[in-house]
Amino acid sequence: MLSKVKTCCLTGLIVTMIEVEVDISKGLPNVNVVGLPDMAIKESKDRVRAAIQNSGFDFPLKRITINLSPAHIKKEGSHFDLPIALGILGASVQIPLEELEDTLVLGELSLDGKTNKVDGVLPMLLETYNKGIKKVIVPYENLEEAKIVDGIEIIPVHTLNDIMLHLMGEKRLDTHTGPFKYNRNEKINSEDFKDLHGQENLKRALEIAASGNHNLLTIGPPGSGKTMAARRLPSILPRLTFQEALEITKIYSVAGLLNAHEGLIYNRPFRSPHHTSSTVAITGGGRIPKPGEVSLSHYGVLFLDELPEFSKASLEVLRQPMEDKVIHISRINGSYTYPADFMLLAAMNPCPCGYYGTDGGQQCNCTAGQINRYIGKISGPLMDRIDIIVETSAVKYKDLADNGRSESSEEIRKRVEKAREIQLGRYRKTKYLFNSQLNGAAINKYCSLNSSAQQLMNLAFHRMNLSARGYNRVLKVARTIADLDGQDVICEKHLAEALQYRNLSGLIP
Amino acid sequence: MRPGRKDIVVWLSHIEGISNRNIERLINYFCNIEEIWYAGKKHIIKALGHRNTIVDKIIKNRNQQSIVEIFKNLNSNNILPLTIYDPLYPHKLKNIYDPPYVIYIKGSKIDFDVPLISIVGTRRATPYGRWAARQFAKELAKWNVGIISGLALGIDTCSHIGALEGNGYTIGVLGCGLDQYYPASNRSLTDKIFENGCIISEYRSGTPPLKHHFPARNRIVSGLSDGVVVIEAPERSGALITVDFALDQGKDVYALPGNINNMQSKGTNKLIRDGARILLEVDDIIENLKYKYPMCKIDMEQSARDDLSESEMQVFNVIKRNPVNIDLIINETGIKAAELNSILTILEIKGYINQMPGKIFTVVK
Repeated sequence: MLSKVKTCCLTGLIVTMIEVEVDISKGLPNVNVVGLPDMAIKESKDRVRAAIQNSGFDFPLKRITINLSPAHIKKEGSHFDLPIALGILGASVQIPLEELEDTLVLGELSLDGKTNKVDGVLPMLLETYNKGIKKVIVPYENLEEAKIVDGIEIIPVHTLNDIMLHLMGEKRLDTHTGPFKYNRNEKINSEDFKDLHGQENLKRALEIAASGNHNLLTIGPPGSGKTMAARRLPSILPRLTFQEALEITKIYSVAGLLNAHEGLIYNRPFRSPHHTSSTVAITGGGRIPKPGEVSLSHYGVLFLDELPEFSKASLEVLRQPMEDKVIHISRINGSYTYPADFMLLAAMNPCPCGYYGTDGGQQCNCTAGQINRYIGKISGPLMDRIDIIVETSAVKYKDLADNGRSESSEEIRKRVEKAREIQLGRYRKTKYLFNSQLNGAAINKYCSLNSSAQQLMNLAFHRMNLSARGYNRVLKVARTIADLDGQDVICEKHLAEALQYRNLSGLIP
Repeated sequence: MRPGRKDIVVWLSHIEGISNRNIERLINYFCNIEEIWYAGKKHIIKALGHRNTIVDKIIKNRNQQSIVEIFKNLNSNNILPLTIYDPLYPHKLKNIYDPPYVIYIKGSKIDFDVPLISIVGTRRATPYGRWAARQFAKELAKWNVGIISGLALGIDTCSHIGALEGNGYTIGVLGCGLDQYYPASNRSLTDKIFENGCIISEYRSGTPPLKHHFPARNRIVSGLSDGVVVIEAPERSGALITVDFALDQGKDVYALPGNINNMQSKGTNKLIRDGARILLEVDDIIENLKYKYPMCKIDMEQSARDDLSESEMQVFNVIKRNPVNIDLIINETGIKAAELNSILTILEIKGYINQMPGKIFTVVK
C-alpha cells in the first residue's frame, strides 16, 4: 500500500513543499528513509515506531520505504516525525488519509506519542499558504505562531492519538481559523528611561540616534551608565509595524528562539552578544546556516558592550551587513541570505583600565601605547559608519541632586516616531528610509543649511579640524536634529548641537 | 602774527624737496628756529650748504598765507601734526638717532605710552609666516600690546590684520603722505586701522612713496616700539634694516625660527644665530615687557560679557568655576541637553572653552 502526506522543509528562509511517500511491501521487516534526509530525519523512524506503538496502534512488521520527494533537496528538521507516522498508519490501512489531501502536517513526536514544538513554523506556513495550502496540522505549542498566518485553518494536536481519533471521526479536534489582529500597542518589556536619572546628554544622543537610525558609540569609564542607558534604547524606538514584526518573528522562528505559545514578536530585538562571540556567532553560520546576531537584531538594536574587547575579525564582519542590510552566508549546503537591518550601539572604555580622562577617585595607569592599541582595535571603516559619539563620565551621587522626574520612554518615543515620519515622507520616492543612510550627493540635496548655519560650519571646519568624513557625519546628525525640531532647513542651533556628537578629545584616530 | 616754532617746523616740512636732515641743519644753525622767518638768504644758504635749490623755495613760501593754508589742509583731512617740541610727541621716538622733526598722524586712537611691538618681515611671505604674524599679533593684542608695522604687503599686512582680529591697537607707518593709500590693495585695511588705531608718516600730504622713504620709515617703526619681531626675512631684506635700527636704538629683537632651507627664513635664522631672542611663544615677548609696563591680559570675563548671550553667559559662568562635566552643567543650569550642546559648541568656536576627554569642559587659559 502507498500513502502520501504533505509537509515542507526550510533552507534558510526558503520553503519547499515536500511529499512524504510511504510504501509498505512484503519482505523482511525494515524501515528505509530516502530522499537526502539528515540525521534528525533518519533517527525519526525509531521515534515514530515507539510513538505508534505507545499510542495503541500496530507498527507494521513489513518492508517500509519512506521517500521524501523531491528527492534532490537536502532536508533537515524534526518536523517530519508526524507526517511519517501518519503516512505509515495510512499505508497500513489503520486510519483513513483522504481528509489530509491538501493539509500540511508538521510535528515532532515523543516516544509516548506526544507532539513537540518545531522550529520555523511561521515562515513555512506563510509560504505554503501562498502556494494554496489552506489547512495545517501543527503541535499545540506552535498554535500561537501559526495563528499569525491570516486565514489558514489550523488543527493543533497534543498527541498522535488525538489526530487519529480525529481522522477516524471518533473525536473531532477544534480547528482555529480567523483573521489575525495585530495589536500594535502590545506591552513592551523594556526598562524605562524614567528610572534613569542624570545622563541627560546620553539620553538626548540616544533619542537622536533612534530618530535617524544612526549608529552610536558611547565612551566612558566603568559605572557611567553606558549599559544602563543602552538597555533602555528599545523602549524609545518606534513600535513595530506588522510587516516588521512578521519578518522578525520569521527569523526567530527559524533560529528556534520563539518561546512555546509565543506568537508574534512585539518588541524590537535587543541583542547583546558577549565580546567572546565568534565571527560565526555574529554573522550566522553552521553546517546548515542559522541566523547570527546581526540577523537576530534585525529591525532592532545590536549592542556591543566593551567594543574593543571583541576580536578584530568579529568587528570587521559587521561592515558588509551594515552597508547592505542583509547578510549572505555560503556553506557547502548552499547559499543562505538573512536580513540584517540593525542599529549598532556600541560602548567602550576610554582605555584598558577604564579611567582615562576621569577626574578624582580612580586614576588611569595605562601607557600611551596601551591606549593606542586599545583604541586602534576599532578600524577606520567601522568608525566611519558610526555617526554619533558620546562621552559619558561617572557622576558622583551627591552631585546629582534629584531635580524632579526624568522623562519617560513613552514621551521620548512620541518625538522619535514623529521624526521618523518626517523622514519617511521626505524620502518617499528614494531608496533611503532614514537620515543615516544618506551619502554623497544626497547629503547635499537634503541637508541644506541656512546662512547662519553655513557660517558656523565654515568656522567649525577650521576651528575644530573637521575632516571631510566628519563633515558628512555632522550634517546627517544635524538633519535628524532638525527633523526632531520639525524644521525643513538645518539652523545654527541644530548644527551646533550636532557638532557636539563628533569625537573631539582625540581618543579615536 | 608771528609763527611759533611748531608752525615753522610744520611749514618747513611742507617745502618741496626738504629732508629731515635739512630741517636738522636749519635748527642747528639758528639758535632759535623762529628766526628763519626773518633770516636773510645768505644765512639760509650757509645753514643748508651752497647751491641748494631748497633755499629759493623757502624764501618764496615764507609768508603767512602758506602757513594758514597748510593748517587748513591738515585740519580738513583730520591730520594731526606733532613736532618734536610737542609734549604729545612720542618720547620713545625722541630718543633715537635722527628723529623726525614732525610726524603726521591720522586715526581715532593715538597713544604711544602703551607697550608697543613692531612686527616686520618680507613682503613675499610664506603661509607659515603669514600665519605666525597674524597669530602673534592677535595674541599680543589680547595682552593689550599695540602692534606697529609698515602696512606693506605680506607680513606687515598680516600683523595688522591679526591685531585687528584681537580687537587690539595698531599703528601703521607709511613711507608716503597720509593722503594716499599705499599699497592700494590695503585700502580697506587702512580704513580699519583709522578706526582702531592710527597711521603715521613723517612726510607731508602729497609726498609720493619713493624708494628711499622706506628704509627711513623703518627707523620710526622700530623707534616707536619696545621691541621688534622679525617673522620672516630673506638674507637681504628691508626687515633687516629695521633690525639694524632697532639694535642702534637699543630695542629688543625677536626672530621667529623657520625651516633652514626656506629662503624667507634665512635672515631670521641668522638673526637667531647672531644673538636675537628666539620667538617661540608670545610669553617670550611678554616676559620682557613686564619690566617696563604693568602687563595684564584683557580680562576674558570682560570680553565674554560683551560677546555672549544670556544663556551662553550662564553656561560660561558654570564652567569658569571649575572644569565640569556636561551632566553637571545640565543639573546646575537646568538647560536641556539639546540646547546645552548647541551652546557649548558656540562657546567652543568663539574660543572661550575647551573640551577634554570625558565631555569635561574648561575655560581657555
